[in-house]
Amino acid sequence: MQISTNYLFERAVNQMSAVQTDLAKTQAQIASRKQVLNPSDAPDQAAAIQRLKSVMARQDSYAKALDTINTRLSAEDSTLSSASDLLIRVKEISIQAANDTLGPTDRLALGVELKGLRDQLLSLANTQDSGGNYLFAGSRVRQPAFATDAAGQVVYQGDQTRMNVPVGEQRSVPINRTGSDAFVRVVRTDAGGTTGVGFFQALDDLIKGVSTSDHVAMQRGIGEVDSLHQGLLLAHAGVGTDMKVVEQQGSVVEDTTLSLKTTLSNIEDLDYATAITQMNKQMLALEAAQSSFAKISQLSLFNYIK
Amino acid sequence: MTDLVGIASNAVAAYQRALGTVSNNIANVATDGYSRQAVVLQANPVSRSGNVYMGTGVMVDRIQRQYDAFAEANLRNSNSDLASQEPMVSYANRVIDVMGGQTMGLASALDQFFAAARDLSADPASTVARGSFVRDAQGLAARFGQLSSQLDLVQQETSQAISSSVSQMNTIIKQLAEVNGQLTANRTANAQPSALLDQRDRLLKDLSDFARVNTRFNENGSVLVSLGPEVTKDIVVDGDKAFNIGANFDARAPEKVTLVLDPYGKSSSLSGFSSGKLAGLMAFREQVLGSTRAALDTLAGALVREVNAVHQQGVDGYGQAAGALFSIDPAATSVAAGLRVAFEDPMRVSAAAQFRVIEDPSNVGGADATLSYDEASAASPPGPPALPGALVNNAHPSAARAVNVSGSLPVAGIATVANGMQDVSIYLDNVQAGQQLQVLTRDGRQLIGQSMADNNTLLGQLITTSNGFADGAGYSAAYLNVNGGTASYKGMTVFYGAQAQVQQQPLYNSKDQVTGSKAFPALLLGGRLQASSTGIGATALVLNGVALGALADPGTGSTLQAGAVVQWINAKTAQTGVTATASNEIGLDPGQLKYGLPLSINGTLIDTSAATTVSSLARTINDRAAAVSATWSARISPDGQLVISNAGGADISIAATNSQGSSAANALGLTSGTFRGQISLTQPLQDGSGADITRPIQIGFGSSGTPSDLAKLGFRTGAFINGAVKDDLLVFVTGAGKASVSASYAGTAVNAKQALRAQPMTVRFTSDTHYKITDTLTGTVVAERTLDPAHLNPAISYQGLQLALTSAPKSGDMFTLDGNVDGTGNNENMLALLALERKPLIGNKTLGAAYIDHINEMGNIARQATIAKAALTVVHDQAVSTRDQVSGVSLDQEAADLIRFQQAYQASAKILQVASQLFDTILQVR
Repeated sequence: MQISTNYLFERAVNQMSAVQTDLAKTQAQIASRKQVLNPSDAPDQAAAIQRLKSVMARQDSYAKALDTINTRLSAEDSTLSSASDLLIRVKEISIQAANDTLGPTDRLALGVELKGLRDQLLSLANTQDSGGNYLFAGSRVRQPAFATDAAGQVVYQGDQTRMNVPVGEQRSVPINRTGSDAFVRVVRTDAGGTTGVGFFQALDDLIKGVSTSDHVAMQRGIGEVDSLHQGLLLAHAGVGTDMKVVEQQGSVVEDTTLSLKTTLSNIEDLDYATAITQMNKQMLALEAAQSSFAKISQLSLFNYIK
Repeated sequence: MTDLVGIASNAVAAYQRALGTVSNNIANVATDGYSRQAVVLQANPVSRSGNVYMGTGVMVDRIQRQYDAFAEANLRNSNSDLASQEPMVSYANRVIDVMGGQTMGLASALDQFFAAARDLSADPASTVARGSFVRDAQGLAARFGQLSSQLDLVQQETSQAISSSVSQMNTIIKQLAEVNGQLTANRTANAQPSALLDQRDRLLKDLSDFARVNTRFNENGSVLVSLGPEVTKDIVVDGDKAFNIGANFDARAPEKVTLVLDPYGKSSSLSGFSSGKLAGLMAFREQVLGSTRAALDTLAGALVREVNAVHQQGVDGYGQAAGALFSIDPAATSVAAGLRVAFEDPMRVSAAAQFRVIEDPSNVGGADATLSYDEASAASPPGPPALPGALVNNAHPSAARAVNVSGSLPVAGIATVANGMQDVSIYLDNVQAGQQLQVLTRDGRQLIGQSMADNNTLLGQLITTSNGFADGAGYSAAYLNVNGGTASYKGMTVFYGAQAQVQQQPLYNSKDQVTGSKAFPALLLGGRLQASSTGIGATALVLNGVALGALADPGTGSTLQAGAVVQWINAKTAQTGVTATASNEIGLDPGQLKYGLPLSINGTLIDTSAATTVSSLARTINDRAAAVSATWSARISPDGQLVISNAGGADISIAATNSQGSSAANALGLTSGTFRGQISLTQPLQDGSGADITRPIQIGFGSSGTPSDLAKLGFRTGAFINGAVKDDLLVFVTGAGKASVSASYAGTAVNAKQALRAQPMTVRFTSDTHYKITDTLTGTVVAERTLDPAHLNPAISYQGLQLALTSAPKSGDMFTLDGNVDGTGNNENMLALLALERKPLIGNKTLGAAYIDHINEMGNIARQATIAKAALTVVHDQAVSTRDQVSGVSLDQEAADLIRFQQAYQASAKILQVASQLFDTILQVR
């Protein structure tokens, strides 16, 4: 078999450049710390990486949603907690007022204090968030949750929209409490039959009873404040539960992200030991190819023709 | 003695040539396409000397070009195969790098879009979150555009590569033809100059870069070249003739390219084209570029369709029903390139649901309500077909549709009148005793017809879900035939009976502009009276709200006469304002008259034998009438008809003889029989006191009236809805028998959902189990139903609205349902949009997965091309090496030849020396 001189040179050059290309790629991998430099190097792995990154982006957005929800729930929590304290004070005062030893003037004074507490409760019920939206108005966030209507009664103006937000692949958390859920109505049965009476209406009736020394109204009011408080506590407990869920879900998202990062790292990140060994091997091969070519190419019969 | 000098000089010359050839080989060691040349030496012919043959030396027979046709062909083919993989590998990888990259790819933009949707859903009232949602939607649309333009770029590049390949091929083809032309100088290939053959082979090899070539060599070395599957097809070089090729780009499917042979001559398509760079480019465009474009467009299309469908379900920040989020620029080349966000204003993002529920503050029960809208159940409720499909818009009896109501199930669905239609009139003709038109809402509120409150059997047969009624619908006659006003159903104006409206005619000025309208009195024209032997009951008919009282029976053996009817109606003119007149006219075309035949009118024989014209016949009849003092007469109408009339609308019987019932032909060409009178009612435009009135004439039914009573008087019974229809209405005919129904109508159905939004409702529980749905604007009770309190999650469904309650409500509880115009803090619709992230939209894949899978698929194609390329490189190397073994120049071999021929040359020169010495030796002999 005969090898033409041209072929000999061409072949050696091709082989050397092939090794050099491999070497350059390994070097680029080491420099970028990535297993897959371009998606075209390993489309299947690139697809897996994209999928993982999508899932991770989703986890990030869950975490962000959880932050938003937590802010909102904290605001609800502190509001309801203050409201609960105020209601306790209302109850104390009204029990005090119901005491037969007090005269009408004393009761009038207590009535004024009760009025103040009721106004504070109203302002709590109309708490706004940083964006100026009313917390307890359902979805009618642009107007106060409780306002005085034409008949002079404070009524709930919001709606009954209860919202949930997904905070995990299978999990969603309620983010709002409507005003009618927190500042609940009571069911009053009297001569006129059974009706629902709004939170502030019940308080106003109580204040009126205290101010006018109406014992029947006072007794009824004390009972009603109890159930108002009960409703408030229930809502407050709901907020607490939701906050707990948010916290737990936060750590679930964190754990998920961590495990995703590990998986991604396995696929995407470069194994330095392997890569450097690989590079050494390729360098050795290139050196060998170069030095052997240098030697072989010197061999020529012409050297001996003198 | 042989000629030493001759031998030597021949040999020297031969080896000089041999050395020349070797040096030429050495000189061309690096020349592309050079074939090594070898000297073929041959012994000179022997000379005979006595009986001895003596050699006469050496000569150069020829200089042979080292060449193997098979090795060359093999090299060309492997070259084509290898070249075909190259574009696939490089361009496909580029497409994958663009599509699959972290920054350029679609996946990250999709993630960001849905993340923005999630942020917005967590804080739907935030204008900041709305703004970023719009921006990220724009980012997603822009990413589609960028990807599309990157693909455009690749497409342009490959188009240029194809065009340039074609023009290079055309150059080579032309050169090959020229080489062929030069080769005609010699007859055999061996006689051809090596350089020319080398050039031929080099050109063929260059051509094989672009496409697989088929060749056939002639004796003189010229070549026939074809690009087809066999050498006889698609010939591009034949002798010194060259045929150009051209590339056609299809404007409709830009990635498709077709090649044509001889585009400016007898063009034909290049069909069996395979391998080579050009084929590789075309394969890339079809397999990768085309399918990627299609995949991107499919994705963009699915995104627009699905996102818009959800977005339009909601309410924007202004409380309006939202429009589309994405639009497609119709001027763009593809869906992906034309994707845009339809608006800039963040407040137009629809985060909120279109409906909401508000619990009444004084509710006693603890039920929490949630409201949703079920598109599917609202879209296609069962029931009679829609009115425009059921009846043509023509109220004339001739356009009526026959309805046959069976006795066992005396209910026939006619049509559904959709909410939003205008001025609907439905007429019932050929009515049988006991038949009625009944118009009800889907919840069993009867608006028009006869009350069915006492007929539970009929109600049971009528109010079923398959007849289009809502599940649990009850029956109510509270709004039955209430003609407008607050007591009517949603303020609708309806009427049941016979009706004629005041006609308004537009008035025009000299410029044909409408300046107003002029009223013409209402005119109710009846048909001919039926041959009724009974009168009308005392409580049967009501004219303009005034009971008409009883119309006495006509008496034994006679039928109801128009005169009696007119008298009966006109007795109430003072209250009703309506005047009745009777007439009885028979119009006869001159063509149908049969002069000379016998004729009897109302029992009077008339001799028509003398009459030969219309006027003489009329005269004959009138003469006879005068003779017997009859009330009937004949005249000729302005349009030439013969008109027989009878005063006061009395009956006219026509026969041939005096014997009644004879069917013999008569002079009037009429079928023997009695023609009855007709009633018409009019009402002046001013009432008794001179005030303008524009009320219609309406004959309605009293407590015992039926459509057959009206039919006795010649009037058609109709169900009239004057003005707008405010709810879906179901139209039925009840009562057994054959009747016919016709209708006239205007307007089209409104969007049911938007109509519902504009109509706030309250659901009030009148007991723990019974509730009423009331239209808030008009106070109309649109439905009354019962609720099963034992159900764990009680639900109420009304026209697609689904109201779910967490627990059983209590009597007195009230829930308001409305169209959510101010619920900006609602995230329901955004949640629905968010659900698209994980919903399989393309086949069974989500948007993101479909995209990534496509990249993977393209990756596999590129991967296969890479593997094929590696394998074909080995084959190509092998072919190069085989060709080199034959035609390549090895310097070592040339060095050896150089020494060999040098030594032979020196030896030959020595022969000359020897010959010279020998000659000298002879010369020295003295």
